[in-house]
Amino acid sequence: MVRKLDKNTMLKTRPLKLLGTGLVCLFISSCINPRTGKTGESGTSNSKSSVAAGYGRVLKDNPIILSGNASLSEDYNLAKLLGDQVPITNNTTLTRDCTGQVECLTVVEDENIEAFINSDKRWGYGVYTTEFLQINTFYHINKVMEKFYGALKNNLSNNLVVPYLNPTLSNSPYPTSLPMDLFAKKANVNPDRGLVAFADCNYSSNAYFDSGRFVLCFGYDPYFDKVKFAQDPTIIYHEYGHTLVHIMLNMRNAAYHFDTTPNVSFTNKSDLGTFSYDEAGAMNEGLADYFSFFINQRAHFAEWALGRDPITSSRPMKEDDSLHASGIEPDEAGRLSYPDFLNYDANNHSSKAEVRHNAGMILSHYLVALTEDIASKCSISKSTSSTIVVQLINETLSELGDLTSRGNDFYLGSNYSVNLNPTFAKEWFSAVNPVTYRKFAQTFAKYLKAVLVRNSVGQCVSGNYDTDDIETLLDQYGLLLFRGYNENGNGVNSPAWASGITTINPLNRKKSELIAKNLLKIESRSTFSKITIFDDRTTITSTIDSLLAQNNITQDSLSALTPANYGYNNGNGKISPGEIVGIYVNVFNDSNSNMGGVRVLANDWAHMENNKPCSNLSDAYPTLAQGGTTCSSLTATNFSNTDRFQPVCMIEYNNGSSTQLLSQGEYFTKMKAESGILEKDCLDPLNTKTCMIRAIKGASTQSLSKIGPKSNWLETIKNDKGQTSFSSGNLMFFEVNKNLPFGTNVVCRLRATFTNCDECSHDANSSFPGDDYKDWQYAGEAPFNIIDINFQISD
Amino acid sequence: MNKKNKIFFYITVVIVASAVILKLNSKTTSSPKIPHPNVNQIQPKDTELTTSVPTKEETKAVDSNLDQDKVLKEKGSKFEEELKKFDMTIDQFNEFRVKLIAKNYRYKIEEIKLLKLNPKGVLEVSLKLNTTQTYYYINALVDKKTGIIQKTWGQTRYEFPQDPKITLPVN
Repeated sequence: MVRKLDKNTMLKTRPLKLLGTGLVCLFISSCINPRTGKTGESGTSNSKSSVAAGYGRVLKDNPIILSGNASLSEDYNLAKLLGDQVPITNNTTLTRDCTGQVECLTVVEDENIEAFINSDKRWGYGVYTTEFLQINTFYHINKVMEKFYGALKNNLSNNLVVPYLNPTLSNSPYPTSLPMDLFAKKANVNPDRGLVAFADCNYSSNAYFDSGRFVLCFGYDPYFDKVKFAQDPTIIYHEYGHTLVHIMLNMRNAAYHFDTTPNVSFTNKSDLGTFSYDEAGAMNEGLADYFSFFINQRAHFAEWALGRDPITSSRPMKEDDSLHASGIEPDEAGRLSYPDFLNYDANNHSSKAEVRHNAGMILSHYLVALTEDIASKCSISKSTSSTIVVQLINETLSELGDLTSRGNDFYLGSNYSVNLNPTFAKEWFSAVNPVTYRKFAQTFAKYLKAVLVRNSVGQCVSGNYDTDDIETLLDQYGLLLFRGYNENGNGVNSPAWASGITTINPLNRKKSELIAKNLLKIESRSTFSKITIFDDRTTITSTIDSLLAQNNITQDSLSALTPANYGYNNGNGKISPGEIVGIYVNVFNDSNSNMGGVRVLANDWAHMENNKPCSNLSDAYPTLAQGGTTCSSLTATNFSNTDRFQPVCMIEYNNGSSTQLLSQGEYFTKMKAESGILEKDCLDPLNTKTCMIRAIKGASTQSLSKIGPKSNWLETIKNDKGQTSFSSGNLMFFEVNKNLPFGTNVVCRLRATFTNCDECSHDANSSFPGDDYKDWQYAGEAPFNIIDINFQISD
Repeated sequence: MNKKNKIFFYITVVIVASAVILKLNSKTTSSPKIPHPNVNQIQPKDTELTTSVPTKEETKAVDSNLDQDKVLKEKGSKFEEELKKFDMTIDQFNEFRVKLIAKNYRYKIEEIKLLKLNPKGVLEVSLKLNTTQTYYYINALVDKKTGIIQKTWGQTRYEFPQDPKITLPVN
């Protein structure tokens, strides 16, 4: 499929200009002037002699756009599309320094290949050379860096953002999440090492950002020899966008690292999303797409590198794009809204597959629409407007990724605002209260209001942007999923500068739907099972390999009792001793609307007291007679007590007169006395609370993109042939002790939630109507539905 | 020069210049890649060192001390010199590598890259991991003496994720 080009995206003058230059060169000997590339049928020569020192030529946009030809052949001579010489670098290698870091960017050909040395600093190379790809990559990354860091410095130097001022002071523009002295503290970069880009990467059909090694790789199209990903600047912007997302997400963590342990490796970092489908990962993609728009103000990405068969994966960022299905329009009714378009593929309208790159389009479309809305209402250019939007993204990510849990440098002592507290921050950030479309939209809206709607020195020069504008556009994208702006954070105590919250105008919520929590249920129809077990050895081996390789789990997540070859896995679709199993919990949407971002959690939570399961939670199981206890209220100070905060799985035990449901700690005590089982026989010898069965840390959340009305996920996602394919993120994984006897009954008390759920975020008992739950409350039942699953250990 | 000759001259200049330019630019992207012997020069601020993980046979050989530096032989003294930055000899590195692979047996480690020597003998390394789908990279802090991984972080974010698809069980 080839996209039709909009009239305004075509570079109409380019062919004429090239033709004109070519004719002139044929008849004037000055075409060998070192400042002018010779242009003709073979294109611009772009030799060293044709450029000045420090200069070179690049593809200023992707070839489809430069040529104005949406069907441009992969064999087209790209030399014809080279523009005038542009500044590259006065270094002899493609490196640059940043404030706080020498060589914050190096571009090389590929892994383990040294940066090429160009002694005369003339960066004119043939368009099909590897040197050209490196120069092109360097130029375009540099371009984003200049714009991003230039704007950031500008905001700080012009006091539009003032991290060193206490937000309670009247001259503080707004409470920022950016850390003080962020450049001095190397929070603007990855403090351990600069970015290295492999411009001619030996990688087929793909490009990537690696946050650990801090590298970018731009591969090649295996179907067309001449097509390289680094020829397409929008791909470069997208992948470097991931780099900036990572940097922004970790600004507060990097500043803290600088303050505490600057000489050791920077390891306490956040990553937005896991490898499998989740909303945080989808938004990471949407943000990366937006960075292409940030640079070129063009609402389409990767026409050259991804836009032709068979890859066909270029992505639009605006509803009027010709790739879109009919009915999608840039108006109130036709926006790419949440959650309906989570599984929408602009290149394959019949597809329902969960693909995070597609799900991210809701965010990229919203951000482009917002950019245009701000530009229009504030009477500024789209370029300036997009710079403000990136500032808001920066504020949002810096707060949400904060593993110090402060969210602001003036939130001190034992006050925390985000991700609960430093002890639990990673777990809350990645699983318990992660970045969802709702959370991102709410935090983003808070900063949007702070930056544009302020009365005195807001950045909207016309003063014409108000909260109705914020809410109306969010609503058109189905993202007005919150009742308040949450200025008081999610900590126990509100900050001094925001004791309450600003509520939204409920009349602005026309399209965004908030669904009652209890409409997410376990499947009860007889034609479906409640749970499905995956225990095939080959499947489990490859899945565990992937989870390890994607850094979702570590080796320590698994017990030494579980053999390396997963030899107990028998593939009988039942749970047997010694197995690693994937469990799909078949939840059902009993509402009349789409549910988005459905998650079932199997991580530890506060559902016990004195090591006995609470009988007074909403599932009312177990009863007192079944071994339960009446638990006292959960509070901000007792939620993490070890007798309360327990693993989800409990075990039935018959004491001769009755059957009781025991915590695993209690079960272990009984078995130790009766059967001689020892601590060493537990999955973790140091923790008898998970002795017999445990959810695997890092793989204990089942994440589903959306569930249709009156359906389960299997029905929602199945293809035309009625088939459903799972990925690891659709399952939660458990490890079973080989010493757990056959016939043992196990009950696991899971919790379920979804993004467009009303009571999953809003605390009806808060003193501020419309306020969110505090982070500690996510340790209990309140924001979730309890889903009990039970199964018998089989042979 | 008459008019005809003038045109011929200009065309010749253009052709010759084009030929020279073509020659200058003859190195194409498909030319063989020659790895630089010292990858450390990529990032002078951060010492890096890469080695391939030995095959099973090679691991066995290392384990049994038959040919301890077999896989490193070609690196020669330059490799040894680089190892000094991590306070290691080749023997120590071999020992570290064997321990790292043995102690972290669940990881399909394809390549180890030393990145940084932290206090208390803790190494930051990059691990290239192989799955049936593709390669992934994670970073890890590893105790230099024991080879035990203390912490991992990082993720590889591909344009096209290749997450394995899981099929429904038979029963």
